[in-house]
Amino acid sequence: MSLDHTDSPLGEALPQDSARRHVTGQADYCDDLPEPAGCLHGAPVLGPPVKARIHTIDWSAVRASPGVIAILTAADIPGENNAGSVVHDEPVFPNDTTGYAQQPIALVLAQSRLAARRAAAKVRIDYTAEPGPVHMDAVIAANDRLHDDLMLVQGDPDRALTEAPLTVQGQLEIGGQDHVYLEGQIALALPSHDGLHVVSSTQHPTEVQDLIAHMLALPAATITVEVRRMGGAFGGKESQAAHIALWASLGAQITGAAVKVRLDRDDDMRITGKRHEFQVEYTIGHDAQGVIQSALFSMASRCGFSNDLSRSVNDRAVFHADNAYFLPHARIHSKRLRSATVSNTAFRGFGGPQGMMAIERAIDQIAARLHKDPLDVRLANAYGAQGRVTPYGMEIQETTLIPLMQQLAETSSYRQRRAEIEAHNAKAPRQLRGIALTPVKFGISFTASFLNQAGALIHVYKDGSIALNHGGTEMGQGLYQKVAQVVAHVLGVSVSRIHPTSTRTDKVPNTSPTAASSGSDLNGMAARRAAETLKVRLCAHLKALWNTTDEPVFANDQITAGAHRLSFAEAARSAWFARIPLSATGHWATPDIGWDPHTGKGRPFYYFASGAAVSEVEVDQITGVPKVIRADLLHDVGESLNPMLDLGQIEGGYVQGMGWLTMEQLVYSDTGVLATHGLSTYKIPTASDRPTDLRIALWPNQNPEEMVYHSKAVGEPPFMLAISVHSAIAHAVSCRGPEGWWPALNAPATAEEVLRCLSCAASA
Amino acid sequence: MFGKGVDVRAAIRFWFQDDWRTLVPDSPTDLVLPYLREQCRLVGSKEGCNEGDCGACTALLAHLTPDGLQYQPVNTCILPVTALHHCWLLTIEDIGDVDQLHPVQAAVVEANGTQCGFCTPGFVMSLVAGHLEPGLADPLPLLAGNLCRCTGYGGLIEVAKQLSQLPKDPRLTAKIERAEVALRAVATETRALAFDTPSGRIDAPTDLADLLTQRQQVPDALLVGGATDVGLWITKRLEQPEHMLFTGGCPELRTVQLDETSLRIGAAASYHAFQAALLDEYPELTDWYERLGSVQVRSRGTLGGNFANGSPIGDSPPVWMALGATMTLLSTAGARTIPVEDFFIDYRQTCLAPNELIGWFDLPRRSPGMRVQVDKVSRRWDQDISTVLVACVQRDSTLRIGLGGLAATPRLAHHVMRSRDVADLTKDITPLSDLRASSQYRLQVTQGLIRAFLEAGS
Repeated sequence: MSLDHTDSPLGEALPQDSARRHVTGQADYCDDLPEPAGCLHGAPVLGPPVKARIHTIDWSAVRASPGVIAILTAADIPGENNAGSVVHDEPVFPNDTTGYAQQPIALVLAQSRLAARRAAAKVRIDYTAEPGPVHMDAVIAANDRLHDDLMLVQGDPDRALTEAPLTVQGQLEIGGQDHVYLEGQIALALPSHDGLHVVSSTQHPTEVQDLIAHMLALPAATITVEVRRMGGAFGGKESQAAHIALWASLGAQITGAAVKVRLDRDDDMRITGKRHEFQVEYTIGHDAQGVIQSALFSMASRCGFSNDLSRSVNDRAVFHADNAYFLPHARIHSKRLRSATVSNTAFRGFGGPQGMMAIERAIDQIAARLHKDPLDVRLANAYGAQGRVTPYGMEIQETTLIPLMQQLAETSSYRQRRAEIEAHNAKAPRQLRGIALTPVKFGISFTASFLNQAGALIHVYKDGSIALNHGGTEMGQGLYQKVAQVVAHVLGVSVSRIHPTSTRTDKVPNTSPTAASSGSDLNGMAARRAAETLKVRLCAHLKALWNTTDEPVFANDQITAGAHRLSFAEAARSAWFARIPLSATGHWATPDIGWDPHTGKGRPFYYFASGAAVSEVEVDQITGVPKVIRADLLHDVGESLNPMLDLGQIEGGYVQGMGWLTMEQLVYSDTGVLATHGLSTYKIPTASDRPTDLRIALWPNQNPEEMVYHSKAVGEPPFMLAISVHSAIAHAVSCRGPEGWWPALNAPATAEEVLRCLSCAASA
Repeated sequence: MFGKGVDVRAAIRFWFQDDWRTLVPDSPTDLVLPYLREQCRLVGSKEGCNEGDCGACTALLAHLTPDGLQYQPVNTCILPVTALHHCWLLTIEDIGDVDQLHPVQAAVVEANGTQCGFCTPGFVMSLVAGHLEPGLADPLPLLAGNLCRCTGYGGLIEVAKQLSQLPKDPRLTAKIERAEVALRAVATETRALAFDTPSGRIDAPTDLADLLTQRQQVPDALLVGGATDVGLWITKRLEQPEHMLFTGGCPELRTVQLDETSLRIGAAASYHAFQAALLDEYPELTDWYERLGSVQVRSRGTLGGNFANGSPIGDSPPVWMALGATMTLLSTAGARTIPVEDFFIDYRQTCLAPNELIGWFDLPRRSPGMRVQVDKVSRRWDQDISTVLVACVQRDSTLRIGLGGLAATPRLAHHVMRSRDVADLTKDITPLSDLRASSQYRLQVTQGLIRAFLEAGS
């Protein structure tokens, strides 16, 4: 099964490219770069604590505050006042009407960051509240569509539902999530008369460049956006980083000074978008064996005050309503609702996690009613058991899901443990236990098909060192290392010879965001092509030099052909003397994908990544506090480019997903002021929340598609392995209810939500 | 050591990067992290949350003790620079470099302990603290004050478990020797600070009479213990107190003393300083202790601060109430001793007079057959604010129940203590609803926890 990568860095377990710099504090993030003399610091001025019409603003106290240099508002923008990534409906600064509570209305520039923050807090705003819907029920009642619904229909769902012998139905509330990238949003704009250089902590340098160019009415070619590394992003710096970079750029353009904007954590949480909240209603028709006949989903999502990426996020939710299960007849209706809250955005999984939750709950309900092990109902419905065509008409080619789930059930002793847990719970202990096995099938490709392209640029220097550049950004996922491994493989050199260089729009232009788990697929393929171009040139040169027809072999930092041999460095130098170009670009565009946005039909994905997890939890009956005590994860990363990095992504995704589904809760006031705006009130998992017993394995499999070297994307899919935690908590709670009962457990399953369901169990 | 003819109380002096450093801050509110990053251009320590939660800014503060240097991990983002006085400050820049990693750093790389890397310097500093101080090396409590959002905790826990097997780093050992010599050389000099900065005054007396006199004369000066709460007033509320009066210099306020009837804990003793004495006497408080803040917070936080800020969600007051502790309030006029429950009047209001400060707490010693149950309910197990804290103590025939997070102040559940009927809890409190939980949840959980205690004893 395994490719022969002997002597190749492909598949080698190497740490993150900057690991040694990380542990010594020598990895520089944007805020660590030396500031130019006279650098100014910006702090946003937050708007009224409710969506409002602003009448007048009293700036006198702000202006008088020590160290203040300037106040920038919408009136200072020379070009387009827009920060919206797809639809131009989100202003850099609003003119007179805010879209949500505490939306930034201006930027204070001062000599120090503290001076700017102190000044910004002194604003006095005269306004009239124009409240809009904040909480999910109010948002649904207001029913203000941000853009067209998507209605995906497969077969004849209504007739099939009528004919189904049994149905389950329900409603599921799914909460949002703050990204809590440890490095908050930041940008440093460095002006010159030749153009603007912006260091931005962004997943999407090209979009930041475009937005700055439009705002300043300058050609894109005069704006360079650079990012070497981010201190975490998780989707939160795909579109959201632009605001901060726009503010810094506007300040630099107007004052001529370098301008840095680094948000304080609390401002960051108040004014940047988060994971979309969802409410899903579902009705599933099934037979006596639990086989699904028809599935109806109606999804409503809270998108915030502007479009941002909400269309694509919701599209992906629709494409994942089936998760891993064949739905012969289905109707999936998605409503994208405007609210008076910050504009929700990309977050690891990008709507997929929210899309999958309902079908997993429904399957648990079906199993409870039929007195079956939910795993059997999952296996009976998984793609491959009854059918292989998704509701959007794409056939699932791989046969991974069922054997993967079966193997995990074996290796985790799932069935035996489930029996033990039910016996334990029957003794009415204070600590209930629960267990669940849930699968994930996640589609890989941007659903905005044109984004599935990438570019790379490789320079070989005369000393044989190699500078690698591509459009992908490094946020901790290990992309730079994986792509370096690809290039090292092509050129037969050691990875240490390759120096990943910061992502810059003046090196590789017109890039796609590093998102949709696509980073190593797209950039790896582009870099592979660039490396292959260089290899072809070196081959031609050496064959001429050596006057041989033998094909040169690139391995171990040497190039050989028969008795001829040169070190890679010697070969590079020799090629330079022969006037061979030692710099090459590569480009990749994923073939064969596309879908109809009106019907939802087509091939939105190039391939799927799959996995499954077994989670075991304890639930305290007095407090409702859940705790994950063991998890077994089995995940398909194809032929792993780097198992060390892949395992890190799997563990990280799972624990982050567990946080989303248990302890992380965003609490807003009725006017939309975020109450959980700091790390003292918004709690993300710590080391002790990681299951003490966590077992992770890679499914031995090749991607049938060639990219990259038959590996698979890994950034997002493991996040959804955490749905097993939610299901396991529900299982524990179900043991307190009557036979066949299943709790309507919402997400997050906070202690309070769990206790609510335990109370329902008592009265069910 | 510092030179003659200089007012040694007019500047902060600390050992840093193999040398004495003199620092005259611009303001009493100057904090260590901005000092490191902006003034020293040492950017290895990161700012993640700016409120002492994420630990990305963790550094070590070493104090000279009779047993040698003692190391405390601290959150530099909320640490006033005055805390550095006569200490050695170790930052990530002191611990290895890319070509010569410290064994702890090498282990983190090997264990796949970094993803985005932003939290990593803080984790490394906590791990180094556990490596230097075996008493801190219990893996999960050691790491509880450091957040990783890529959630690659697995590798970091693995390293924390191996700490005792990792070799010492000879370069760090040499630095330690030099630092110890330097700190010994100033051990007899006064540690008092008293000076004006451009934006306010700093006083850190070492003599209790001085402290009480200043408190009498300048009642508006902000009393500061470990600054684990005051630090947030500075970083988040942007407060600029004009006069900060630090209490931690006075030995009487740092006392930890066990006698026949009680355990006395000075108001300015850090949690870390009284951990051993407290948990030896009341091992039932181990979970409570380990979940209170984090190692970084407990290095600095004080019992006096936890009471004096009058917060309804402080974790100590309900426990001290249930255990029947007293507290002694000091002023130039003398001392008065009150039951701790009498200290709280209303939301963030206490009975502390403007000329008083908290001296110490006396905790009765354990008596045979007594039962202690302390439950903290929070969104997250580690390092979180209590949604509910319930402390139940049965001593002979007396039941005492302390409650936190439920009302405007921490308080005793007098009605339930008398009737032993949890239904009476509504006579004691009407729980609040807030971002952590609803009133209904708080009531139900509190009743359940008290019921469990009563049932276990019947």
